[in-house]
Amino acid sequence: MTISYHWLSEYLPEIIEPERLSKILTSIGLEVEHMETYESIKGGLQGLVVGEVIECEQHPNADKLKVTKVNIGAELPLQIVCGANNVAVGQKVVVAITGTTIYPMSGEPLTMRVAKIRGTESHGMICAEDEIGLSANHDGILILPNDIAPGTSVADYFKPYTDIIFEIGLTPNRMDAMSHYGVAKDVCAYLTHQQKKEIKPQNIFSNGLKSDNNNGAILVAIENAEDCPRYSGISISGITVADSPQWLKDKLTAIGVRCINNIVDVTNYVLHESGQPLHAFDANEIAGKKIIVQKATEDTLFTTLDDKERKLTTNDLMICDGNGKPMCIAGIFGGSTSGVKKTTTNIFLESAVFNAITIRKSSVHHGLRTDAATRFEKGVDISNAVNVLKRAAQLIQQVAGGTFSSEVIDVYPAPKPKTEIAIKNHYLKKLSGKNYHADAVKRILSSLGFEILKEGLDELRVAVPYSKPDISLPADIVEEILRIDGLDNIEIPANINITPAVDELSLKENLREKIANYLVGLGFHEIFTNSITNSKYFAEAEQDTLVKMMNNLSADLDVLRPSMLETGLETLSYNINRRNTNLQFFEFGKTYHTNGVGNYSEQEHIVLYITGANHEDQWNEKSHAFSFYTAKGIAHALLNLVGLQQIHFENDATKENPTVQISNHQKVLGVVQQVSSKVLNTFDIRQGVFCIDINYEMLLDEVSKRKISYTEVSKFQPVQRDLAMVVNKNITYAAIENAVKKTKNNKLQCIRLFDVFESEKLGIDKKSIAINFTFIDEEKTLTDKEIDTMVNKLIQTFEQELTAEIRK
Amino acid sequence: MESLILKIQNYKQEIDATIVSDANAVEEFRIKWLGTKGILKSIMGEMRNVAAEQKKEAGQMLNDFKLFVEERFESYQSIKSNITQENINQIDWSLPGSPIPIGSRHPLSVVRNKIVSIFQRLGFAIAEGPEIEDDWHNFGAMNLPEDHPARDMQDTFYISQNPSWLLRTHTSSVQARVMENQKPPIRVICPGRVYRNETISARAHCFFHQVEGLYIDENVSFADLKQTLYFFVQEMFGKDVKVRFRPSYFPFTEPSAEMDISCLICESKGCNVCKHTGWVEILGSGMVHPKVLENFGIDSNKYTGFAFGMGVERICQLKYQVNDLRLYSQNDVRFLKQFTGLV
Repeated sequence: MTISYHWLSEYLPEIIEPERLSKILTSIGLEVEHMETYESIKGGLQGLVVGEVIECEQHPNADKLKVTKVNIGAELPLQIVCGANNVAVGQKVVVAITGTTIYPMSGEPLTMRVAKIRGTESHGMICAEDEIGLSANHDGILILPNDIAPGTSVADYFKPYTDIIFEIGLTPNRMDAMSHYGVAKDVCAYLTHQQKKEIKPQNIFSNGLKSDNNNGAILVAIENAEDCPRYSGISISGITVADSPQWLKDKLTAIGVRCINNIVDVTNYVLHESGQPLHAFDANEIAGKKIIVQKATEDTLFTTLDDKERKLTTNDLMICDGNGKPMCIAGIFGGSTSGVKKTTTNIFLESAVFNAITIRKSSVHHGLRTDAATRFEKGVDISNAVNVLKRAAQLIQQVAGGTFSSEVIDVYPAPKPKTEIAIKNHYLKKLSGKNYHADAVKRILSSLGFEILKEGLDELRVAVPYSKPDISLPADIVEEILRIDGLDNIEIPANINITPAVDELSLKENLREKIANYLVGLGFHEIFTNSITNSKYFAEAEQDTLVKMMNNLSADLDVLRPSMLETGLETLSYNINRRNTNLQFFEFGKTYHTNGVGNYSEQEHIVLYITGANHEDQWNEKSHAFSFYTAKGIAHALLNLVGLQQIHFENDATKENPTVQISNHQKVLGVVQQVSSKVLNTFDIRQGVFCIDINYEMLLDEVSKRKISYTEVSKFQPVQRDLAMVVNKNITYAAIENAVKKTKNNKLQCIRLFDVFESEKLGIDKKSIAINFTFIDEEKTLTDKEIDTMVNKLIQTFEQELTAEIRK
Repeated sequence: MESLILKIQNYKQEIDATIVSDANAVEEFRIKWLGTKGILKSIMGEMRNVAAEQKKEAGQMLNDFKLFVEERFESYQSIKSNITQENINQIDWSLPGSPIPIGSRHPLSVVRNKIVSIFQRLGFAIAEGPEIEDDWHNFGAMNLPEDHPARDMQDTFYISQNPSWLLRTHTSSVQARVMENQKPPIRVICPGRVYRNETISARAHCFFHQVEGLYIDENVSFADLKQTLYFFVQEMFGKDVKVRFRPSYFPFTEPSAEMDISCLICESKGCNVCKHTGWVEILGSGMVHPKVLENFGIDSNKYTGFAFGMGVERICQLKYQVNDLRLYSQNDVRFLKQFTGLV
C-alpha cells in the first residue's frame, strides 16, 4: 500500500519528520518496506534560477550559436553560449548555472560546468522545457513571463510537487489502515499513548450536506441483503466533467493512481483517503430511475469499462438499472456505458458495502483485482458509508460544480450491532508477559476507536469499531495494546523455564549426522535436489503410483519423485557439463508413492552417486577409476559404520544393469547398481555412474535392533594360510563363499580374496583365485596339524564343489 | 662365476640407489627382490651354471647377498610405521602430500542443524510430519478456512481436490500433528521441506526448507517468546546483533510479530539485502491463536503458547551471502566446495 507523507500529514495534528514517522509506522505494525522521494518533475528544478538576457551577440566562430550575457540577480551577469534560435535580449529565461544538475526528459542527468564552446567560455546553460524535465517540448528555450525578477528560484515559480512515499507492507488483518485517514488514526493512537493525552486526527467528515432538490431521486432496491448489507447514494446534477485541479492530480499521481477526470479522480481520492470504494454512474444511463442490487443471470454477457466482454455467473452481484440491465459488477468494476463520460452532466454517486466472500469469488473468477475489490474483500467500515458519501459529494461539487439533486439515500436494512469483547486484565498479563496500567489500556483502546462499555475489577468490556471487522477475540485486543505500546517495550525475563524434552528422533538425527560426516570424510559432497521432477523419466508401469500435481509448474516438473536416482543424475550431468567429471555425491531425501487419493507414502533414503575417479593423478599416487566394486565397498563400509555386521549382497537378476541388493539379517535395505547406459543417455552422461540407494527408515530400524556388547578379545594369535586355485571362469565368488560356508568351520574367522587373474596359460575359460584364510581358536593355540586338517577340508570342498584345481 | 660377481655388485648398487620412502615402495622392493618371481630367486637359480669347484664360494656369496637384501628390506620396515632420521634426510619436503579426499555438507544441512541444536538446548524436541498433507492440517487447523484472504499469500500445489490433498506450504502442519497427538506441555521444533507453486527464480523456488517451533504450557507469554528468540538470534548471529520485533499478521497466531535483526552484510549502513533499512526480517512468530488451540481441544484459558517459523535458505543467505535460491538445488560442486569448512 502506498502512502503519501504530505497527504498523511494533513490529518496529523503535529509535524512528524518522515524518518520518525517511518519508524512509528513500522513499530505499530504498518511496516515501511520502502521510502522514496517523489517529484512530479525529476530533480524538482532544484538549482535553476530565472535570468534576464541583457546582451545577445553572434558567436564569433559559429553561425548557429549566440553569446549572451544573462543577469541572474547576482552582481555580475553570466556569459552563456546559447544555440537556440529564439533567444533575444529582454527575455526572462531558465538558467542552469554551474554546479546545477539538470534532469532532461530523456537521457542521463547532467551537471553544469564552465565550458569553452568554440573558444568562448560559457558559465551555464539557458534551458528548453525538455532539458529540465518540464515537458517534451524542445522548440527553443523556455521563455518565462516578464514580471519575474531575475534570480528567482525556478522551483518556486513552477512549484513542482514533491513528496515522500511510504511503501507499506500491509498485513491482511489491517483493513482499518488501508487508507491515509486510517493510517493517521493509528499514528494518533501511538501519539496518544506516548503523550498520555488524547490526540485525534483532523476531522474530514462533516454532517452538513443539504440537498438542493429531489429532481434526481433514485430508488434503491437490494435483492440480496446478505451480499449488500448497506447501499447509500446521492444524485448530483449539472456537473462539468473536466481535468482535475492540480492539487488533486498531484496527490493521486504521487501514489501512483492514474488521473482520468475530476469525477473519477474524486472517487479515487476519497477511496485512498477513507478506504471506502465509491462508484459514480452517469445518472442518465439509469433507466427507470431505479437501482436494483441483484445476482446476475448465468451466462449474461456484460461489457466492462475496459471494453472486454465477460460472461457473468449467478455468483456475480450486479448493480442494475430499473430494467434489470447490469451497469456494474458490484464493488469490482464498472460497465462500459454506465460510467462517467466527457459528456456526462448528471451523476449518481454510490457508497456501498458488499460481502467480502462474494466480491472475492467474482473478482478472482473474472481476474479483476481492482483497488475496490481488494478493499471489499478485506472488509470496509460499514458505519462510515454515508459519511464518506457526503465527503465525496462535497468534493465533487467543489471541483465539478453541480447541485445535490436528491436526498442522501441510505438502504441499511439490518444495522449490524458492534462486536462486544470482555478483556480480562490477567489474560492480558498472561499473554503479553507485561503489566499494563489500566489507564494506559483504556487510553490505547479509546484512541483506536474502541468504545469502553464497562470497567470491572479485572475486566474491561469494549465494543469493537466497525473499521476493525477482524477483531473478535480477547487475543485480538491484546495485540492492539501490544502493538501501540510497542513490542520492543516488553521486557525479556531473566530466567528461562525448560520442560525436559523427550527426543524420539534423536537416533534418526544422530545416525544421519554420523553417516553424513563419514561420507564427507570419504570425499562425498552432500546435495539437495528438487523432490518435484519429470514424469517422463519413469516407465509406463510406474505412472499409476506417481504422485502428480494438479497444478504443476511446468510439464517437466509435474510429479513428486518415486526414486532418488533421476534427480541425482541431473546433478551429475550438470556438473559433468561444467567439466567436473570426478564426482561423489550423497543425499538424504524422500521418495513419494500413491495408491490412490488419500493413500500416500513417503520414504526416506540415503543415496550415493559415484562417477569418474577418486582424484587426479598425483606424483606418488595414480588415480583409481571408480567401479562397481568401489560402490560395493562403500556400501559395505557404510553398514559396518552403523554397526550392522550380517551384511549380505545378492544379485538382482531381474535388472539388465549390474545390480545387487544389500541386506542385513535377510532384510533388504537397498541396492548398489551400475546405472544402465540407456538411463545415462537420458541425462546426457557419457561416463559410468554407480549408485547406492539405502532405505533410511529400514536402516534405522535395523540399527535400533542391534545390540553392542563387549566380548573378550581372544588371547590366542590367529593363523593365516593362503590358497590359490584355478576354477572355471563362470564360478562366482559367491559360489566360493558358499563352499567355504559348507565346511561349517567355526575356527575360520574370515577369508580375504587377494588375487584374481586370467591368462592364456590357465586356459581361456579358466581363472586363478587366491584367498587368504584366518583361523583362530578362542581356547588354545592351533597346532600346524589342526590347521592342515582344516585347510585340507577346504581344498577337498573346493575340488568337489567347484572342480577347482589347487595350485601348489 | 665372474658374471655372477658382477651381477651381484650391480644389484647391490641398484639397491643402494633405490629410494624407498613409503609403504608402497617397500612393497615394490619386496616384490622385485624377494618375491616368488623376484631377482633373488632367479639369481639363486644361477647356481646350477657355476662350476662345481666354485659352488661353495658362490653359495657363500649368494647367501651374503640374500642376507644383504633381507637386511635392507628389514630396515625398510620402519618406513611403514615411523620415520627415521635417515629417511627424513632423504625427503623432499616440498613435494605435495598424498591426495586425501574431502567432501562437504550442504550449507542448508549445516544451517538447519545449527538452528535445531540451539533450540534443543532450550528443551525443544524434534518433530516431523508428512510433506503430502490434507487441507485440514495445512490450512483448516491453522485457522485458515477456505476463502480466507491469507490463503492468497500461499500458492499451493494440489494433489487432489474433494478431498483436498496438497503439498504442505509450511511446516505449521507438523505443529498441527503434534497438537493432535500430544498434551501440553509441548515444546517441539519442526524442520522440513515445504512447497509453493511459484515460478523458479533467484528469489523464489517451488521448494524450500523451514524450521518451526511450538511451545505450549500454562503461562507462556509474549515475553517468553522474545526471550527464546532473542537467545536463538544471539547464538546464531553473535552477541552484537540487534533485534527488533514488529507487529505482524499470521492467521495461526495472535498477537503476531516478525523479528528483524540488524543487517549483518552492511552493518546496518544500508544495502540491497536490507533494502537500505538496516534491518532484515528473519522470522515470523506469535502467540498461538486461541482457535488453533481449541481446534485440538487445548483449553485456551488455561494454556497459552508461542510459535515461530523461519526459512533455512533465508538464514543461510544472511550468514553466507548466497543471493540466488537456485544455487541450493543446482548443487554445482564449485558451490558446494565453498562450504567445506562450515561447522
